[in-house]
Amino acid sequence: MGSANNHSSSDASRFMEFSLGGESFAVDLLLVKEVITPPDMTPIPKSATHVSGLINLRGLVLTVIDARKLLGIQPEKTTTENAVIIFDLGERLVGVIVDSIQKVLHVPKENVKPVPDADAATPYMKGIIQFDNKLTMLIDPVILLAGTPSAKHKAA
Amino acid sequence: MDDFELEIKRDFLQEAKDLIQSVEQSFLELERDPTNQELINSIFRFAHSLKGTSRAVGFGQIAELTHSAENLLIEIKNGKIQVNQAIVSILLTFNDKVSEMIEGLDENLDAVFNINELVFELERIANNEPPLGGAVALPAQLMSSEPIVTFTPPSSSDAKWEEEEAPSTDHETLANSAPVMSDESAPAVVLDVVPELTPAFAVPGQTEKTPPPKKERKDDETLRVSLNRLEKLNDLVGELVILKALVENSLDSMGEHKTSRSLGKLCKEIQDLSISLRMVPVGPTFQKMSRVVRDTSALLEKKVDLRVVGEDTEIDKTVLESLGDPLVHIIRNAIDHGVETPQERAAAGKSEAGVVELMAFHDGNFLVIQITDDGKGIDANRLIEKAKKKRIIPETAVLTEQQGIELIFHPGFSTKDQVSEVSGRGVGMDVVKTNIEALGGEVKVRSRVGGGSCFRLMLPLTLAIIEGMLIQTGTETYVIPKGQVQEIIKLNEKDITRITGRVPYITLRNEIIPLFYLQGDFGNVKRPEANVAVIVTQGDVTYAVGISDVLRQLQVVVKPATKEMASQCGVMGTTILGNGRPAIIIDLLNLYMKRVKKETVGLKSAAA
Repeated sequence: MGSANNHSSSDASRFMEFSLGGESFAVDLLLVKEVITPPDMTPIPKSATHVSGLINLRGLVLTVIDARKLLGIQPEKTTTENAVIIFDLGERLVGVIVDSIQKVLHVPKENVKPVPDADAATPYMKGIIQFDNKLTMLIDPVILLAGTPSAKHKAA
Repeated sequence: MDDFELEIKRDFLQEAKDLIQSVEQSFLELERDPTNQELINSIFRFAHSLKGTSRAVGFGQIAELTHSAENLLIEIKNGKIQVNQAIVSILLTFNDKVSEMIEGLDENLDAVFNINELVFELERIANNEPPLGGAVALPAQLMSSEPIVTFTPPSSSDAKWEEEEAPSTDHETLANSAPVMSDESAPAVVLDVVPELTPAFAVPGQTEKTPPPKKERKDDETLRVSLNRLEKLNDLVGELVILKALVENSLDSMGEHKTSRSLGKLCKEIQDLSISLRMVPVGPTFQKMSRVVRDTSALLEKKVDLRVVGEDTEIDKTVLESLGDPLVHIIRNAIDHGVETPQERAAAGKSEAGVVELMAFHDGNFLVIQITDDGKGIDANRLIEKAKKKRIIPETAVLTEQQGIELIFHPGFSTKDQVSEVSGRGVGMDVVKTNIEALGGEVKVRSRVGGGSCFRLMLPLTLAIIEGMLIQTGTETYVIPKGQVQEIIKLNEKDITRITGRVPYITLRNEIIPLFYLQGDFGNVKRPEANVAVIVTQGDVTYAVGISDVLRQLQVVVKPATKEMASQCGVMGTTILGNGRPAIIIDLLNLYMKRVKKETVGLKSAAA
């Protein structure tokens, strides 16, 4: 993953594209620390349903969130394609389960368009990447993962 | 400023911090033993080397201030001035000022301080001048000519100092010249001397004469290592221990028992060593307390002797750092509320000086710090009365004497009618309790009216590793801290009394205690079951927690809870088990304490 960083240019950005229930999403590649295959998880009792559990990432204990449940997307069947993206959110690491990792997109900045009809309900939608005649939703994981679990936990 | 200069400045500050701390002890000792010539000499050497090195690295103000203190010390050394409390006080003020300056310089290497008043005061005492009259006028005068006076006087007299290593006559002249400097004509005179006295000139002689102060302090060679690196090492060793468990299993299955045992032994040694690296003796923190005792007792006009036992006892550095404030609180309280005035003590048939004893020792996995005073003790009845008046407890409440004494930990509770400078604001003991509990420790208090009080701070030896128990409830496994477990009993359904709408109860040695089901409170099970009950005791509250089974005891490396678990009550942290799986460490006290209080109060009132 890190090698993709080598040929960076100022007018292009790199994104990691992944799929959730057949839909394509992307995140800023710089926020991705690594991608692992889903390990054994320890469930957290009384947590929100989208919290899958705890994992041991080489000695660090992290929470793994199921992005499909968080976004209300029907998950595809469990396959060997399933992956956990480890996001580095600065003050902490969080794992996110996705159906599969697609590829790393290298797109010019002008191809990232604002979200049409952006509303307050989906502040984590950062933009739409137009690339290869295809549209990919760009997600801000910092906003997506901030606070939501505990808020939902209280409601539960 | 080039790197080298920066480095020597930083080195000096670090060194000076240590020096200042150790010399404070000498000042306090001097107060007890004012004629100890050896002590006076060592203080004098300290001042002299501080002056020299501080100027050598370019901290002129420290040098100047130290110079005036040195003048006073010369007089003391030569027997011209007798040490008394006032002298020690001014020396301590000097010490505080230097330490404040060092802190300030640590943040900003170009910081400038106002030292004129203290310099003046030191000079005045050195010259045996009365504090009245001139004392009021002169500081103002000094202030007006600040830039000149601030930087020059030390250089002028220091030049002489450099050449002659201590014959008394010269010191006299030195000291006698001091009043001249505070005279109006002084600045001009001093100015003349300045140009020929560059730091470069003063340095060589100084450094040759003064041995590096570090050598006197420790014979064991030491190395400063950042705490971050130590913590990283501890983390890694924790990982190594987990991996070791896996390797041991496969080695054992291959029949390589000997290799497996050696590996285990080696890992244990590495782990013990890496933990011990974080351990520091409580001594320096205790030493700071003698200053607190001195200042507090002087302020309250009480006589107090501080006795310190077990200074070499070691404790995790992070724990020790959070210990300072609670200790100050307790000691101030002990002197303010506990120890009586000399008159009262004489009337009660006690020695005039009260005794506060500070003791540290190990007790199992805990470090105990015990603060005992021989004062008038805590009057439980008065506390209960006061608490009722303040509506902290209901008018009808019946409390045991011990419960009454423990009211001092209640927030917003103070028995002192007058708020004094020392204590009595009602913030104190509850803060102590919160701080200690935040460290995973507990505070205990025992007291006898007329006989004194004893506070016990029970602290975990290290925050990094705890003794735990691996328990099972339903299909889940959790870790609970062994320290919270009083005992474990077998639970039979027939022993459980169920009352609709209430928590079930069990009877343990004639005591009715509430039973909570961990599976119900820490899982999503509607009809929880339990075969075993863990009995938890905190203070005089006892309750049972039903679980499926206790699997085994183990040592776990405590890791923080993830942010997603923050809202979950009763989580102490997480850890990684021998099989590599994460596990949650449950804090049974945190999980149930509030509920159990409600339940037991309800039970007692129901019984009444």
